[in-house]
Formats: sequence, C-alpha cells, structure tokens
Amino acid sequence: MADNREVRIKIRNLKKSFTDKKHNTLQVLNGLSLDVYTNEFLVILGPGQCGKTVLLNLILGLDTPDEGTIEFSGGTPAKGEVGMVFQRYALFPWKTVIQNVEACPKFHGVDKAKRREEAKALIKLVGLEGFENAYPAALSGGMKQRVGIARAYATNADIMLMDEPFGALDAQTRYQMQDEILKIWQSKMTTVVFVTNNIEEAVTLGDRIVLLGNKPSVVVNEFVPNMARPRNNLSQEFLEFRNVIADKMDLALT
Amino acid sequence: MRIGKKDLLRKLGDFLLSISAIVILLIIWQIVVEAGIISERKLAPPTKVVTTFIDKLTNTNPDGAVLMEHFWASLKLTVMGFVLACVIGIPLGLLMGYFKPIDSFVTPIFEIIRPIPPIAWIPVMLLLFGIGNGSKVAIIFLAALVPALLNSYAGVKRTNPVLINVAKTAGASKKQIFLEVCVPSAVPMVFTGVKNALSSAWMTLVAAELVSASVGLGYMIQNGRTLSRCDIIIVGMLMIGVSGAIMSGLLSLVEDKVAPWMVKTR
Ligand SMILES: Nc1ncnc2c1ncn2[C@@H]1O[C@H](COP(=O)(O)OP(=O)(O)O)[C@@H](O)[C@H]1O
Ligand SMILES: [Mg+2]
Repeated sequence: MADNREVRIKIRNLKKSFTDKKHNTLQVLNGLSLDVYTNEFLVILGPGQCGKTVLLNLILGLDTPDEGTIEFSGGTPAKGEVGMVFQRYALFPWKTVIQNVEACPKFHGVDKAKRREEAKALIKLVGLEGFENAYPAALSGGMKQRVGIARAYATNADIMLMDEPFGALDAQTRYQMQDEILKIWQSKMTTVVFVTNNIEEAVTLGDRIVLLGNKPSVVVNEFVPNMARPRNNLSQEFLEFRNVIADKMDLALT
Repeated sequence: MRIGKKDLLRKLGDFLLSISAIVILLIIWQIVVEAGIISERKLAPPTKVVTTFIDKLTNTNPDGAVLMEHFWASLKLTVMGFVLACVIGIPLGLLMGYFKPIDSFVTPIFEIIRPIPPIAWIPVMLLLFGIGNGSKVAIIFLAALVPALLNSYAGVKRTNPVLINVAKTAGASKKQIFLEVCVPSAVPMVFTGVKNALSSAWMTLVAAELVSASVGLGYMIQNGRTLSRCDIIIVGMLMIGVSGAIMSGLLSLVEDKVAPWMVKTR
C-alpha cells in the first residue's frame, strides 16, 4: 500500500442528526471525514450506537446527510453498484437460499437463466451447495450470513459494505467466516468497508482500521496493521497491536 | 421433512388428548342432565342431540326443511359474505398499508364504520337490500371485512424496514417494493385476518338470519327457541361450530401451501 493509492470514496465533513416527534435532536455524525481506497479492506471500528449503520446507509444513498459530501471516483454509482451485507442477515424469509441470492438482479430485471447461473456460482463460493432450496428459518446464523454475503455479491458491485456481518455469531463460526470473507475479497477484487465493534476482528481483517468515537462521532484514529495474512491472533505482534487500539479506544470513549 | 418416530408418537398423544377432552365434556354433560341437575327440557343430553341430528337429516319438522337444506342455505350466505370481504378487504388493506394517500382517504370512513356492531346494520341493510339474501350477505360481509382489512394493513405496516432497504439498494421501484417485499411479508398477517374473518362471518350468521329467514341454521335455531326445542338449538349450534372449525382447518392447509417458509411453533 504505497501512496499512489486511488481514492474510491471520498467522505468529507459528514453530519447527520435525527429529530424525534418531541423536537429533540440527536446528533449522530459530527463532521466525519474519511477516504476509502480502491480495493482495500477498510475496517470501521466503533462502539455500539455510534452511528456506524447510519454512515453505511449514507454511503449507500438510503439516507441523505445534513451536511458534507460523499464522492465516488467515476461518479455517483447507480443503485446496485454498491453492495451491502446487512447486520443480522436481513434475509427475505419467504425466499429460499437461491431466491435470496438472486433477489437483487431480479429487481433489475436480469433474465432468469443468467441470474440463476450467477447465483449458483456464488452459493458455491460461500459453501452452501446443497442448501439452494432451504428457507432461511432452517439455517444456522453462520449459514444465514453466508447467504447475505452471496446476495450482496450478486449485484456485481465493486464496493462492498459490511455492517457487523459476524456480530451475531459464536466465536468459532466467526473465526471461520473471517477467513472466508478474506478469501472472497481476494478472489473478487472489491473495495470492502467492514464495520465492527470487535477489536480483534478489526486487527484480523483490516488493511486499515479507522476508529470512531462515541456519538456525535468523527474519526478519532487510524491504524495500519502491517501484518501478513493470515494473521495469528495469538502472536506477540497481533496482541501488541490489539492493545494499542484498545488503549486508544478507551480514550476515545472517555 | 421426514417425520421421525418420536414426532409420530407425540402427534398421536396430542390427538388422544384432544379426543379425551371432548369425550370428558360429553360424559359430564350427559351426567349433569341424567342426574337432574339441569332439567332435560332446558338442556338436551348428548344422546338426545345425536338422535335429533339423525332425525333432522330426513325430517322437515318442525321448521320446514331438513338439516342439510338449512346447512347449505347458511353455508352459501357465510361463504359469500366471507369471500366478498376477503376479495375487497385484503387488497384494500394491503394498499392502505403502503400508499399514504389511500390510507388517508379510506381510514376516516373505516374508523367510523368499525365500531358499529354488525347487528346494528340490520335495519339499514333491510331498507337497502330488502328482506332477501342480499341484506344477510351484506351484514356478514361487513363483519368479516374488518378483520380481513385490518390485519392485511398491519401486515404491510410491520414489514421489516431493513428488508425494504435491501430492495432499495438493489434499485427496486416502489411497485416492486410493494409487491415483492411488503406483500409477501404481510402474508402471515393476511392469513390471521382471513381466519378471523371466517369466524366473524359464522358468528354473524345467526344474527343475519334473525332478520327474515325461512331456512338456514340461524333460522332453525331461532325456530327451536320459539318451540322450546333445546335439542334442535344445540344441533344448529354444533353445525355452526363444526363447520367453522372445518373451514378454519382447510385454511390452515392452504396456508401451509402458500407460505411454506413459516416456522410452525408448537
Ligand atoms: N432513522 C433513525 N431515526 C432516529 N434515530 C436513528 C435513526 N437511525 C439511527 N438512529 C440513532 O442513531 C444512533 C446511531 O445508530 P446506528 O448507526 O444504528 O449505531 P451503530 O453504530 O450501532 O450501527 C442511535 O442512537 C440510533 O438510535
Ligand atoms: Mg449498526
């Protein structure tokens, strides 16, 4: 990662607040600035309720900021060009695994044969072969999020946002999914913005880690774990890096 | 899904429990009457109900029609009112749940109509539709419309907003979001509404037939009351209860076909 990195998303001075019926204003983002580089694996680390999901929704265009700008190299992406893996899976319960994976191309009117073929390839990629016709209710948490990942990649997006995708999984499944998401990222060559509140996960995955503070939040720190992958979370280097971030995180929260 | 031996045993156990509840009820009922705790003239015992039932299959006395004629007449009314309520109430409720202007347009009228009990409509319906079947169907329709519409409406309103976001990020149109996200996620609530509409329809039947009927289960019951024939009253009531239960069971089968993704809790 040299300095000739191309900026894929340029976020400047982003402000976002919500006003409830009693006219109380909740300032969530307070002038957040951030660059996301092409094809990097960026981790956004922040405590719960600090506005991580709000930020991703702004990048997705689901909501508009009060102030500030989000610019993409190559112009504003069309709908479907930015993919999202949602917190707590958000699968369509009435669709089978394969129908969930092909849901987004279907909204676009991609013809059935084509989207089926792509969906099958993605199901293979996330290791869910044989479960094509199962309903989400019959799947474990890890399997559900595999479907969520495959669905996000079915849009052929080159920017992938992931909102605490493994937050609801047990530790064992989580480690396994972390390995796999790195493999998928490397095979698909996408820019990933991965949100988590787990320091260890951030150090395991990130090319770069930006730390958000409590709301109203801004970027309070940035870390670059220059460690080869796969990273051993018991190595001296890993643990030291983890502690550095933990100290900064404590500071950010007080 | 495979049904294991354990599942089968448990199902059998559940079934036996259900049967024994009915049997116990019948036995108590019989004893209460035979012991004279309640006079036979006020409460016909199960044995009497059975003989009356068999007799009514062929006997047109005292109300001018055999049991099945009464049954078909009532079934026709109920089904017509019920189906009409579903055909109008479900789409209207779904649309109201999603499109604000439709909601604003319909809600005030609906909120005023809603608290009026179906029986209170009888005089108006008689003036509007005369004493024929039209007014009876209209009353049953109104009773069934409320749950059909309200549940469909609530079903759409309760769509998980994150699922709508998923569709939006994929560039779905408003129409696609309504038809492919909100409507399917409302399906379980729609079925709840349909089942409640069916019960309401049967419950309103007797009231509707109080109006002017000369045939029908409600009429048969009413006539039984005039003649102090409690056995006939009970036969009529049981016919309504059993028909409602059977139709409700059929609806559950349809539900399993239409919404196979729904997890059954037991
Ligand atoms: N649509 C909304 N309306 C009102 N408040 C909201 C809305 N979305 C988020 N918030 C508030 O913004 C804060 C940050 O939320 P969120 O981004 O979901 O946190 P997290 O960092 O855990 O993802 C929370 O306090 C939440 O209640
Ligand atoms: Mg969140």
